[in-house]
Amino acid sequence: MWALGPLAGWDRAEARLKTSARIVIAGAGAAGIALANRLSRALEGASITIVDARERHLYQPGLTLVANGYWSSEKVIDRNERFLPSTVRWVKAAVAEFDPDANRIVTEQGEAIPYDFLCVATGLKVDYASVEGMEAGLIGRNGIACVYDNPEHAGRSWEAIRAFAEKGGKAIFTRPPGGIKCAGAPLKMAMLVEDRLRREGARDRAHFHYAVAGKGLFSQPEINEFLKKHFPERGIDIHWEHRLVAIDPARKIASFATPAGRVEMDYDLIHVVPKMRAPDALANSPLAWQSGEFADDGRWLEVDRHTLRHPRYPNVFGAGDCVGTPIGKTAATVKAHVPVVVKNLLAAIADREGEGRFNGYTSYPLLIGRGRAILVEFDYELKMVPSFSFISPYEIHWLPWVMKEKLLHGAYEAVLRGRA
Amino acid sequence: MNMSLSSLFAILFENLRPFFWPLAVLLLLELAVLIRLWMGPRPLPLRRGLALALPIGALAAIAVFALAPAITQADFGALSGWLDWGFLMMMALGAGVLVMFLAWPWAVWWRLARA
Ligand SMILES: Cc1cc2nc3c(=O)[nH]c(=O)nc-3n(C[C@H](O)[C@H](O)[C@H](O)COP(=O)(O)OP(=O)(O)OC[C@H]3O[C@@H](n4cnc5c(N)ncnc54)[C@H](O)[C@@H]3O)c2cc1C
Repeated sequence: MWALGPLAGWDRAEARLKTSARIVIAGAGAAGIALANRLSRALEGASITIVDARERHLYQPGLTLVANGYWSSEKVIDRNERFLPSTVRWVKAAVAEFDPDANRIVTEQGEAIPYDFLCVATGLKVDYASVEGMEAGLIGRNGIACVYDNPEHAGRSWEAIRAFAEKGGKAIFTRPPGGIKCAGAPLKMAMLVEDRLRREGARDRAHFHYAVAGKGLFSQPEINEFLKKHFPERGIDIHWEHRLVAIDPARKIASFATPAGRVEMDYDLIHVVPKMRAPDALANSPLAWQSGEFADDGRWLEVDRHTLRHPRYPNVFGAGDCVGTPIGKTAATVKAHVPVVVKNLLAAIADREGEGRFNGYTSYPLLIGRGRAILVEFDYELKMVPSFSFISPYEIHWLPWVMKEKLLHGAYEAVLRGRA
Repeated sequence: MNMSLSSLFAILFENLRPFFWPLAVLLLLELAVLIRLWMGPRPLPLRRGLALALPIGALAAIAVFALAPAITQADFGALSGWLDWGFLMMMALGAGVLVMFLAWPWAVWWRLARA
């Protein structure tokens, strides 16, 4: 009964496309699972295979709440199995090699899987090695926090933050250069921790610093301007063009590359956000951008930014964090990506030109403090594109926080099931 | 980006999914009372039942109003402007009306039993 979902497809009674195409989806995260669900409903006779070694499903947008003590880790952990349609074959292995010239992928176990169409949805890699002295095992120790990657890191970050809130001292929040998933997360971390200390009457005991690799805090100009005023008002000092390059956990010293040379700062709490890149198998494949900003930044998947189709390998599509586009590494983007990819993939199967166009949609509630947030939604032109006209994207409200805390997890699962 | 009606339904559905069994039990009980009233003696004390269901609904509305910020790990200080207060009031009103309608058949039944 549940498989039918709510009024299953009641407003889209499109006929299923008959095909014997072999479709492989690399990655069973938000984008991969959503693609699997939508494609399996849209196609009849296709052989759909999803390839991912990870069995647990992580609701990553909840990690910010875990790292700030609002949610327990268990709340963001689920099983992929619960969301995958029974008609999709799941190969529980990582892709070791993308071989688009031979239309196949090879798993780490050496199994070659041929395809007619490939969807790349491998997410990204948090590159701890990009910060000298940093490794994932340090998170939660010596005042090191990092909300990224998984609930264990977020949970250990919360321990480090709690210890800092008790003693106070100097907190540094970092933002690396280039594309990162949920570019709002480093900002949210700084604001939520600052808010906690204020609430606990410990704000006077702490100094807050935000070290950003570039010259802006946020890609959307109005929000950038707002934050440039808001941070100093809250006593958060901004350090422009400070890229975290090394950390000495024993001495609690962080080193930054700046235009004036290397600068060292001591800390009691540091939120380390390492550089992010495409996973190795993708980065080292011909599918990655071979030159230009998206090659230099993270060797992201090359796609046309609107059709999400590979320009050199037209039977390859991309969705989610792994794609090399100017903005958009959020779950909300996945919601917008997946229908575009499905539309264009169905058209490709039918030998037609696809009409799906992605407009750059990027969104999240920017958490300002406990109970308060701004619902930020913008597109490639960095224009605000609010889903709800009555919620101003420039005002701080409780309602976007309610969405984050209570409603977006359900919305995310609706996306996974290909229903939203 | 605009949200389609089917997307909104799907999101609502996924948010209710974890409460499926309690909701199903509640609806079945509600149905059982309705069937019993349907098959029972007439006239039904609908007005007297409503007189009881109304304050129950009002209590539910007050409870939602008072507790919603805390349930979302916030406090009243986080609410700002007509958007937040309007949303809270709409939620409280909605919950109150829903509880009133759910309580009404039970209240009628209770009145009948005590008649
Ligand atoms: C702290 C934090 C806060 C966030 N907050 C928000 C928010 O508020 N709103 C929002 O919209 N988004 C938010 N996001 C972003 C959102 O979670 C991601 O954008 C989204 O999960 C991306 O989905 P994806 O499928 O591309 O990647 P993922 O969900 O990461 O999935 C990628 C999958 O690919 C698999 N994979 C990797 N390499 C291989 C390989 N070689 N072979 C096979 N499989 C592979 C992985 O195992 C994984 O299962 C947040 C993220 C974080 C970390």
